Amino acid sequence: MPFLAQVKGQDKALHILKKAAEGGNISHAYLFIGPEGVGKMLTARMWAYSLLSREDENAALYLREGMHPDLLVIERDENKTLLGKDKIVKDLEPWLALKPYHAGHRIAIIRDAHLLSMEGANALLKTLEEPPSYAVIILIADENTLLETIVSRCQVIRFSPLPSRVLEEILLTRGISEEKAKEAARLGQGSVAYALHFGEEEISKNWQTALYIVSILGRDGEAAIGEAAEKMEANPQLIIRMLETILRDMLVYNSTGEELLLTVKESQDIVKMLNKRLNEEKLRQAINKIGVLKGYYRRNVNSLLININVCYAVKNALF
Amino acid sequence: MSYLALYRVHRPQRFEEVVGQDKIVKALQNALREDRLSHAYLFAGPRGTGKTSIAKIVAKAVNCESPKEGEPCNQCASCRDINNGTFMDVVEIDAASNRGIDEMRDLREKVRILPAQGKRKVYIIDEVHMLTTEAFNALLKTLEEPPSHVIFILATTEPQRIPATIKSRCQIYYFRRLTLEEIAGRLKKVSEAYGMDWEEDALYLVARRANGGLRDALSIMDQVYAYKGERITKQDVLDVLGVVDDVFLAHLLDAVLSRDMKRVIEMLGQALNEGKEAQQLARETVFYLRDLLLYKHLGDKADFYVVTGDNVHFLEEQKGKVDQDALLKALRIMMNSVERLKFSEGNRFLLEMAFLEMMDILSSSPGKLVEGEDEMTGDKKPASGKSKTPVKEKARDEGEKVLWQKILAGVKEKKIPTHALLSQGKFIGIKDDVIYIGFKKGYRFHKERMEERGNREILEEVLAKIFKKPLEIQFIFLDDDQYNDIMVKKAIEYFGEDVVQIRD
Repeated sequence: MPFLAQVKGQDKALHILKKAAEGGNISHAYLFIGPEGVGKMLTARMWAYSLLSREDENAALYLREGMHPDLLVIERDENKTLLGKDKIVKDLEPWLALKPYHAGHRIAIIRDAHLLSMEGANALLKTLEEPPSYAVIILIADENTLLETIVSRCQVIRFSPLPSRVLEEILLTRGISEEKAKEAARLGQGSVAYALHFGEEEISKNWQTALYIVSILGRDGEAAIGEAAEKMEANPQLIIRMLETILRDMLVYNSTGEELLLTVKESQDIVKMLNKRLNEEKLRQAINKIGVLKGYYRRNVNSLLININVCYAVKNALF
Repeated sequence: MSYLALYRVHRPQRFEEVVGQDKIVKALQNALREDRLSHAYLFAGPRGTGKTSIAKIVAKAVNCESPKEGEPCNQCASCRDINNGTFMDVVEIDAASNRGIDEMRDLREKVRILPAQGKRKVYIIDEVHMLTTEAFNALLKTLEEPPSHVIFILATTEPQRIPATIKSRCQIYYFRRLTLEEIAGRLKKVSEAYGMDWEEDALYLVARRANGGLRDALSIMDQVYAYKGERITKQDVLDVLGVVDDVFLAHLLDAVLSRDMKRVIEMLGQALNEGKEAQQLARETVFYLRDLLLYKHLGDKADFYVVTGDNVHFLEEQKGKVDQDALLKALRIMMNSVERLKFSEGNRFLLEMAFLEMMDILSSSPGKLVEGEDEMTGDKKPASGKSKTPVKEKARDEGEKVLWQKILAGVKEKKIPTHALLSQGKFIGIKDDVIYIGFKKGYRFHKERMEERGNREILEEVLAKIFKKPLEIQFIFLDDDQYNDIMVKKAIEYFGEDVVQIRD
């Protein structure tokens, strides 16, 4: 299956899907679940393509134009925060009621199914349980916040975060330099989308900034907050991840002294430089706090304000 | 013919095949046999317990040409048509997609028409909790007195969202979650029908994961079957579900208990690299801790969730190392992190932090336990001079604690709001018939309210009862010397600084 070869690192999911396609026991409803940016949508598309082109010899032509009549992708409207009931009742249900034009199946992909509204999700239930015999519905969700009743109607296919090795490979094929790919892969924490995002940034410079921030906060305490927050402004979303990583490393190094467990080797230098006993409890609290603050960047909040909060969290961890 | 999911193929077609809802089946079958079926039913219960299936069986049974003992024959034209979904007089309505008042008005119009094909019209309204208020109200009159040829069956997973006026017009049947045995038994039959060879452990694992829903169980089975083929072991099920097995969890907890941070982090890293999800790992840990807690209390009689068969010996080894309080705290930490992991992408670190926090709590508990044992069986070890004082002090602390609990309990009996105020205080001591009760900074409100006459009198009554003599009460602030300075000084003089100071 040449299409599915484009998906990297999701061997188990692919194995299940390939087996189902070969054995002819394709279920009527699938739920692809896993973190953001690990290839769920790509897999869904590619699997749909391979199914359709097996049944329809002209499929390649239609697919190239992105308009195969037997493939429907339901997405959230850009100006909406949720997938509403209308999408299900007005788009999906009538579409599924029609027989396939060319292929043997009609495949509907519902993207971001975790954003289905309460009404939307409930409207989907009956269709999802007993759709027409030719229908295949693929739900794609980043978070496991779906209704119990929805999950129970689907075959759940789990997508895992990608190992750093695979991320690196993917980044390399996108023309990112080897060194950078390595760094970005580590920061991506298993998500291609994030790793790619970081692959385009000046990583090493930002690392220096992050390390610098921790060291001045550790040395000067409150007096350094202003400077640290200003420095973060260079690329807040990236640096906050780095700060998180560094704090975690410090915590690990502080209590184990193992270099191998660290994500960034430089973190141990900070521990040595600060030369004081770190309070594990405080470090943990700071990391949790930063984890929460990280989410705020995507909302409508002044980033400098968040930076200051982050810096206070780091400072509190070190004093 | 395209492939049908197991849970659709194995939808029960007769009352006899329904698993686990014996009472409901019996009631309905009797009603059918004696032709005393009500005109409206409400089926409520969790997912995958048979609501829609039974509704369909009832629809068949009333329209069947040769019903036997209330069972549909599944042979006649009516039964076949209903099974195929082409019978005109059995209407299945998806209330979630058609939830407005217009659809209900439309329904009301159509209800009047006599059945075209069968004996009675059956309306199955599924997911009925999604109807709007107006739609519910539009249905009320029809539901109360429908034409004699109509039966309504409403089905829902959320009965609390159905208006009382609808409920009172229906006969309500509450479906229960299926037990482990029932699900496992059903799975076994299905697997035999397909010639699959399942390990016993694997079957029970699936049954347990299904959490009372047969559809979930069959879904998982379907998936494992698609993944692996005929011969299925426990490991295959674990693979498909993306969970770790109980031995791994046991080792992980061992590492946590021995404060081996390196090993904990390595094990977590290994699991995550193998593609396990952080949230799932946290959830599994919750289950494991729960099993451990149960084992501590019930021994082998406990109903375990993740621990299977011989692996109980891990629990046996671990149960002495933790006390219940620490275990409960650890459980809470893990449950919180399960919630948090739902939304965050910084998965790995969050999970590590949760485990480290748990490590702190769990590994500090055995020390406490040993100390406690020393106290009780004091003669075992000759107490050295060094450890004598803390033990004594501890005993005093304990005594005061018990006394304070007694006072609080007494107050609670008399008036709960007073108890709420008082419980924020701290018992400091009694001197010359005066009892001193401290309040932390920030609890000024509580102190002032306690000083009011009503509350004070209640406390006085309780004290008089406990001490058999009237006591004067003195409330003091503890770490803000701005207030009643003299009283604090006096208290410090009487009871020593370390008692009067409040630690968090």
